[in-house]
Amino acid sequence: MSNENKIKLFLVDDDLLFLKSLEIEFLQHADFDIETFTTGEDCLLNLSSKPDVVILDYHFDGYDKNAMNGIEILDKIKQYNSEIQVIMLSSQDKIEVAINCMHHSAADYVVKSETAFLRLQKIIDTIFSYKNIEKKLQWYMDRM
Amino acid sequence: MKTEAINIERSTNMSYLNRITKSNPDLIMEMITIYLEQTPILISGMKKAMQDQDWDSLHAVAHRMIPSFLIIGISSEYELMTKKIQKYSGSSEDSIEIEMMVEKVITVCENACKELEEEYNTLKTPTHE
Repeated sequence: MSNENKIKLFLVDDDLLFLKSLEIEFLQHADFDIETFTTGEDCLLNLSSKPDVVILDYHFDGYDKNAMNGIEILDKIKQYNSEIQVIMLSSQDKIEVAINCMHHSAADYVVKSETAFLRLQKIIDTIFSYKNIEKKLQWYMDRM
Repeated sequence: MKTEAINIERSTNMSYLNRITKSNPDLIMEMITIYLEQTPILISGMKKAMQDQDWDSLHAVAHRMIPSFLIIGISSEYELMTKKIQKYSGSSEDSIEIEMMVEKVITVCENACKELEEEYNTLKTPTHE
């Protein structure tokens, strides 16, 4: 598949080990065009390369107090282009975190665990099947 | 003796790394390198946070450590301990228990570093020409 047809995916996490493990899993199991970033700021600087999906860590400012937190980055991505789907990642399995992500228009929220990759893959599949349905619907609407 | 049995038990398990990398030695070595670079910094951070009784930093370091346990196969018992450390807010009644858990988590991470260094060296050394 050419790069133009691939889903463009940004992986954003300051935990290099988890970031690399996700990158490996995505590259081994599916056909994605992947870019990885260890800071939210770097991700924002590269939004012009038009990611379809951003997988973003929730907890950025814990270790580096000056870093923007995940929700601030999510808001900035949505301000830049609301069509970009953002899936939030966290090692905290907390309802407040999940609700906060949803309030800020995240597509979904995934806990970092052994099944995180499978869940992410399923969410991305769902996002794109909805997008296809919307496209088809629009095609029919245009012809009515 | 029981203590000897505990001492010879490995702290890490390579099965998750082998699964996600499909046992690709280059990828495994890359992952080990990342772990060996980031973990000593986290261990020092945890020691310092405990020493300074800086609970925000302790929370942040514990939070950062948790995902790596799964990746390098450290027992979930330590993940639970680290989650408890993360939740700790400095209340005096838990302080001794937390200090003991911090010591255990640091020890398991130090052991993990030693084991992964050995693993890295084994992977680096070709077994046949």
